[in-house]
This record gives sequence, structure tokens and C-alpha cells, in this order.
Amino acid sequence: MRRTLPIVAVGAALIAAPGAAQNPFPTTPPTLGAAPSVTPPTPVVRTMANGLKVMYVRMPELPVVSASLVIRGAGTTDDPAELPGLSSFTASMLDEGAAGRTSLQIADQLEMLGASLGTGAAWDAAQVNLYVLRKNFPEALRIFSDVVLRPDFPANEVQRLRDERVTNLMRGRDEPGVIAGNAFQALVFGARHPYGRFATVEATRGLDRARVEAFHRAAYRPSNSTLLLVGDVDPAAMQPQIEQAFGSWRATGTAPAANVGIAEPRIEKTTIFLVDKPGAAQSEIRIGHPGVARNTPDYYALQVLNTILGGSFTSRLNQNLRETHGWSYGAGSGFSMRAAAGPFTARSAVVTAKTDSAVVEFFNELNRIRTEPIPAAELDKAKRYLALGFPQGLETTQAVSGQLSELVTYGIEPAFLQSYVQRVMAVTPEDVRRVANQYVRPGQSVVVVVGDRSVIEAGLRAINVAPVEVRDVGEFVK
Amino acid sequence: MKRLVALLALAAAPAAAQDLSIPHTTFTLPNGLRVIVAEDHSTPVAAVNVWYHVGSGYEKPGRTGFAHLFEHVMFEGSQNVPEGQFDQLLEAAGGSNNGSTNTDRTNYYEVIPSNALPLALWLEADRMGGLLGAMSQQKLDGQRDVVKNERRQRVDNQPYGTLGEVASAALYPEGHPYSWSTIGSMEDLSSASLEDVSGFFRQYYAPNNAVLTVAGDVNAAEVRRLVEQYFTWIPRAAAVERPQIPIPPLAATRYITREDRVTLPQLAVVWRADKRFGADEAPLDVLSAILTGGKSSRLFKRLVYEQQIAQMVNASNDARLLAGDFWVVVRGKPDTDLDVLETAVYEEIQKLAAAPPSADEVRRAVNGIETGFVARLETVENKAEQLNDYLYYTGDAGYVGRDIARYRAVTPAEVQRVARQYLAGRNHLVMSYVPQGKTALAAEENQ
Repeated sequence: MRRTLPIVAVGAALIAAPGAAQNPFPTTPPTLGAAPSVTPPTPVVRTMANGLKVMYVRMPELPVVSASLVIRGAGTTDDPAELPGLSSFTASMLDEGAAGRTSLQIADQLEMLGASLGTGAAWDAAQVNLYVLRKNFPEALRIFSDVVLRPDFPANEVQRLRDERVTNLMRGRDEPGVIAGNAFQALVFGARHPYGRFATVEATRGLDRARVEAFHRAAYRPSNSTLLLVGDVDPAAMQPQIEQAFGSWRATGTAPAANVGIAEPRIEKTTIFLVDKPGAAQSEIRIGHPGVARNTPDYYALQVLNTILGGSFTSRLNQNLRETHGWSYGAGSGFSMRAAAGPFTARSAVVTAKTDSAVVEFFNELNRIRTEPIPAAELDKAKRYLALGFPQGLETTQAVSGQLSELVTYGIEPAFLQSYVQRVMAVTPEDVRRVANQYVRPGQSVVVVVGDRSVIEAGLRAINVAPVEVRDVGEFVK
Repeated sequence: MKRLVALLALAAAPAAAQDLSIPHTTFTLPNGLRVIVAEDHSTPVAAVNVWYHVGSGYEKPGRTGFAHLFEHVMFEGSQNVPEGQFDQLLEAAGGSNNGSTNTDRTNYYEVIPSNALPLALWLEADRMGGLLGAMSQQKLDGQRDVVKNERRQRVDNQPYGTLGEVASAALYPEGHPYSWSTIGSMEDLSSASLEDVSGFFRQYYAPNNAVLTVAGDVNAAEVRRLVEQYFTWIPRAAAVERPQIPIPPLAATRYITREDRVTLPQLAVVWRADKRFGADEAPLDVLSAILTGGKSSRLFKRLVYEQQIAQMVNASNDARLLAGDFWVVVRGKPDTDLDVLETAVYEEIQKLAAAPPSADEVRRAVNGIETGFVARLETVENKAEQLNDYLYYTGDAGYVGRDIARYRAVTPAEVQRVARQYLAGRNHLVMSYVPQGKTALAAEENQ
């Protein structure tokens, strides 16, 4: 049973001036009617004997099925410390041969069905995604289940993908954004924390068939997994097909110990880490520190806070660095919420000559949102942007599947979607002020700047925001 | 209302393909503004999508990048919308918006909860009719800086980032608007003046050079009432001629080498091909998929999968209003001699010119394209964009049925024919991007 959610309370945003209606073309924005009702999906859930959960969401407008299998405990956080990249490598090996089908046969058969299959590892889950026309779903489902349950991990394919990864890592140093991303996570979390590790050439060379096979056996477990089926789906007709495809799935190895209770690193004082990229036209800037876990009770207040700070076009960071100063094509911020506290990151790529000034403006905004009251209209705009924009996130089968896979990964009930709008609209100025002070800490931050050292170093030292340490690119791309 | 009538056509035999449709209605205002409305009530969301029939392909030498710079200025406020309010009003209504410019057209769109339709239409009308009343040097200068940073981000600070503009300059005659990139040069961006802004606006941003499409949870009669109220007052301008500049065939095969701050050498080979919606666009698209579309596509299988001397390979058929180019890009493993990759590209094209591909190869390519047709219709914004796209290039917003049919009709013999007609043995451009100091890796003539 679906519940229709009235969001009338947040409608009628704009009030027209009296008399405007008489003009042929109004000189003030039109008055808007009440916002439309939105019906967030309520999945039909089946739990199979082996523990696999199946969630159906019917969106019958188009004859497609978007299928996602979410395997918790098989994500990047679950990589062994000495082998970062194992989870993602295992996921990428799934469709390189399965149940006797070769890599090329799997690819050919899926292409003949017009289907696309993607595999990968996020922080806290591995995911296998299939997009296919409804008429071809039964056939594609057989390949999908083979790939998850019966991968062969052929040695020659392991070697080929491993070599590809090594080459990709080597070219990482071409990309200022890759250097900045690796440096930021390494410097915020450190190598002892799973969020601080990144794949290296040396570790990647250590990936072999035995490690992949063992990780798959241990971490891919039906009781940890949920299959999302969104689109032109019918639980009654499809559940027997799903039973046939996934009913035989049994966990065989020992589940890996959950990576819980990792101590959050403490950053005592802010430091600017400068990584040289000679001749760079822009400097890549990342500023932040450990943020907050997905299960935080402050979730909604943080969404509103970040929308104001750097989560929308009219956000303070983007307005400041792009519109007011013209130093950047865009600036923003975000909280990466994971099973534990992922990073809070403010970021931009700025013109080399204004790197120091841009860092100063970042700190102005990070401090201002903590110290100055947020104007009521700005707060209201952010809440409306999130609440009234919510239906856009439910438009496509893949968008709905994406929303649900995040909830499933973090053990949050789908009812989350039913209350989202009210919870956002209930956020108060005090909530935002409090979370700004708690979760945005410019005084205990890592600042990474990847740019042309010969041009930017003196300026970064002169602004006296924080001490400057020069680091070698080889520390972060290796 | 369903997103598509006759969706079952997708599951039926190719003969039924013409049944595929995006239901819509159209009308035209006295000032020449054409309007397309497609109702779709599956989500309470609507898209407003305006195409102005101008892109960098309409620019003049010395003002490269101007169409795109102008696109940025369009968001900075108009007669009744103070600077910054365009985005503020839309965000407060739960809407998102953007715009984009390519060689052929400039688009602007808002995606909004359906109650905010009047706001999106009003904002579009105010800037279509009243941009110049609010223009200033300061706004132009501000967006000039933003666009220069966009160029730095997309081109100057990107590995291989200059490939597109180096290719454009080599493929098209001097002075032809396809001979420069849409983002333009830093020098020309610096030269753009307020007079350029008003001249461009008066010439190209008139209702008779625009098409407004509304798709989603709307009522067609209500859309018409609002559009008539908001857009009728805007005066029409002189009709815009589409550029018609003769493009001579490439006189010779040309080799260009660039040293870049990159680890992997990269080869790009480009031929002249067919225009957008030209008779050979569909078989050329299928040909590109047969070369690099999947793991057993010919070039991927040979270079990436079997020989493992390439990190990535991608063929694409870039068909536009005035001309099309067929690209093959191969990124080698470290220190791979690009001559070896070049030879492999020619050999695979020669094979397709000598013998048609298998029926299965064509079928796999077409099936993927078909799924893409359906996937594009999942959002109201994509649907609106599609309707505008068909109207601009074919003159018929309802072209989707014929579009999918032309892909289903592609035969192996046709793929062979286009490989012969456009690629095998034809003059082309060979570009080598090599790590600094490693020009020996570049592809060379007569190897």
C-alpha cells in the first residue's frame, strides 16, 4: 500500500505584487500553487530461505527493469589493510568469466539482449547493477546470477585486469584531481584507517586469483545482500524466477570480521599541504576533516547546512568563488556519510594566480557559517530546495534503485523516504547553527593544494592561514 | 498518462517500430515561437527546455567562444529579475536548472516540481524578452572570468585536453566555425564586448529562432495559456539563416604530434563522415559499435583484450548540423609505439571494407542502441531535449519512430559500404599525444 505524502505546507513560495495579474506580462514572479503530492515508493519485500532479501518497486511507465544487488560487507572498507583495492578488484572480476561462460561470451550475450551490467565496490557494499528491457529480463537474470554466484576468476583475466589497474594508477599523476583526492584522504585519515588508504601499484601487483576467490567466498553472502528490482516488475510473477536464480546461493567461507570501532583520527590544528604540479593552469583545493556517519541523528540538519554552504548553485562557496570573484568554474562541499564518519570536504579548482586568495575565502565561509546567524530566507530556500526537489530523485528506475541501495547499505528502512520531506522542513535555525559548530571545524582541518608550487607557495605562506608543508606527489600516487 | 503510447512496439517485430512515439502537441505564437508540450504524469515533475538555434557554428573569427559566453550571461538576470535571483527563485521552488552550448544550438532548461511551471516559464520569458535591459559590463566581465576557468578546468588542466581544438583546426578550413572549439580561445574571450552581447541577442535570441518544449506533469491547455501570457509580447526578429559554408574534402592525410604532461601515449585518427541525420549516420554509428562497443568489438578485442598494448579504445561518430567526423582514439600502454596502434586501426577498418560484419555484430550494436532509446525517456528533461533535437535537425518533433527504425534497418552490407565510402583509404587526420620528450613514440607518415 502506498502512502501519498502531502507537501502542501511548503508550497506557495512566491507572492506576487497586487495588481500584477492585470498586466499582460507580469513584472514580478508568478504566485505558485501548492506543491504537488509525491508518492515515495514502498517496496514489496520478500525474504528467501537463504536470507537474501528481494525488494520490488513497480514503476510500469517504461518496459525496463533496473536490478541492483547490494552485498554489504564486500566494499572498500572491508579491504585487508595490506591489499587496498581487493574488494573493487573482486567486483570487477565477476563478469570476466562465470559458470563456464568466458568473459567474451558474457559480454556478447548481454549485448545481444541490449542489457548493460556494471559491477563495483562502494565503501560499505559491493554492487552489481543490470539495466535491461523487460522482455529480456529472464535471460539476463541467468547471466546476472552466474556472475554473482559462480564467477570463475580465470587466471588470465586476473592478470589482464591487474595490468590495466597498474597502468591506470601510473597515469593517476597526470590528473590533479586524483592527486588531490588521494592526498586528502591519506592526510585526513592516515594509513591505519580504511578511509585513508588508496590503491597503489605495489599492492595491486599483489592481487591474485587466490585472494580474489577467497574474498568472494567470504564476503559475498546472501544473508548480507538485498536484490532491488525497480521498473516494470511484478513480484508474483517474478519471485519464482528470482528463487530459481538465487535460491541455491549459500555462504561457504567465514564472514570477514566487520571493520567496526575504528578510532576516528583527531586533527589538532590546521595544516596546508602543498603538492607540486608544475605548469598547472589551476590549483585543486580540498579542505576538511572527519565528518559524520550515515546513521547520525543530525542527518537532516546536515543536509540543510551543506545546501547552504556548498551543496547548491546558490550556496555560499559557489557564489563566493565563482560568481563574486570569478576565480573558479565551481566550488562546493559535502559530507561523505559512511558506516563510520567519512570526510567533510570543501573543494574547488581555482585559477593558479588566485590560489592563496581562494584559500582565504574558503576559510572566511567556513568560519562565517559557524559564527553568524543564518538569515531566515536563506535557510528557508535551502529547506525548500531539498524538500520540493525531492520528487526529482524518484523520477527514474535507476534513481529509485540508487536511493534504496543507499538505505539498504546502511540498514535504514525504506520508510525513510516517506518522512524525508517533513524531517527536512522541521529543521530549525538552532539545529543548523549547532551542527555547523559541531561538524565544520576550520581550525582542525587538512588543506590540500595541488598546483604550480613555483607560483603559489609564497602566497600560501603569506596569508598566514596555517603552516605550509610541501609534500611529494609520489607519496599519494604510487 | 503513460510516458509512451505503444510501448509494446519495442517488444514486437521491427516492422512495428514506427509505432514508437512520444505523444505531444505543438502550437506557434504570432511572434514565431514554436512550442511543444508532452504530458507525462508519472512523477509530479516538469521540464522546461528552450533551444535557441545558435551555437558556436554561427560564430565569426575573432569571437570564438562567444555563443557559450553568452549562454553564461543569460543566467545573470534580466529586466524583472535582479542578478542572482534566477537561481535563487528556482532553488526556493525546488527546481534545478542549467544550459549548454555546442556547435549547432544552445539549450536552457529547468526541472521543477509541477506547481512551479509558471515560474520557470516566466523566467525564460523575461530573459528572452528583456535580457538587455539588465545587461552590464560587470556581469559580462564576471562571466568571462568564470568561462576562462571553465576552459582551464576542461582543456588546459586536463591531460589530452586540447585534443578537440587541435583536431577542429586541422579538419576544417580556416574561417569555418567548426575549425574552433565551442569554449573558444582566451584571446577571443577577452575581446568580447557589451556591443557583441546586444548584437548577438538581437540577432539570435528572438522567439522566432527558439523552440520551447514543456514535458512532464502539466496540462497542455494550461501550458498554452501561460505561454501566451508570458511570451506573446516579445517581438520577432529577422529570420536567422543556418550557416551554409562549403567544406572541401580533406586534401591530404595529415600527421600532428603534441607533447603533453601525460604518462600514456594516445593516438587519434579522424575522418570526415556524414551529417546529423544524414543517410549514413546510422550505419556509421553501428560501425563505431562494431569497432569498440564491447569486449568482443574488433579493436577492443585486438588491442585491449588480446594484445594488451592499449589501455582504452573508443570509436565515435560525431555527426553535426554542417558536417560529421568519425573518430578512433586509442590510448596505449606505457611506451607503446603509436605506429603499431595506427596500423591496427587501418587493418580493422580495411577488413570491414573488404567483407561485411556478421549479422550478430550488427544485431548486438542495434540492440544496445534500442535500449538507449527507452532509457533516455526515463526523465522528462531528456524527453523534452529529444523533442527539441528532432525538431531542429529533422523538422519533425515526432521523429522518434523513424529514428529507431533507421537503426533497425541497418544491414551488414551498409556497414561495409560506409567503411569503404568514408574511411578505408580516405584522407584523414592522425594525432599523436605523447609524454614530454617522447616524440619518437608518435605515429609517423610512411611507416
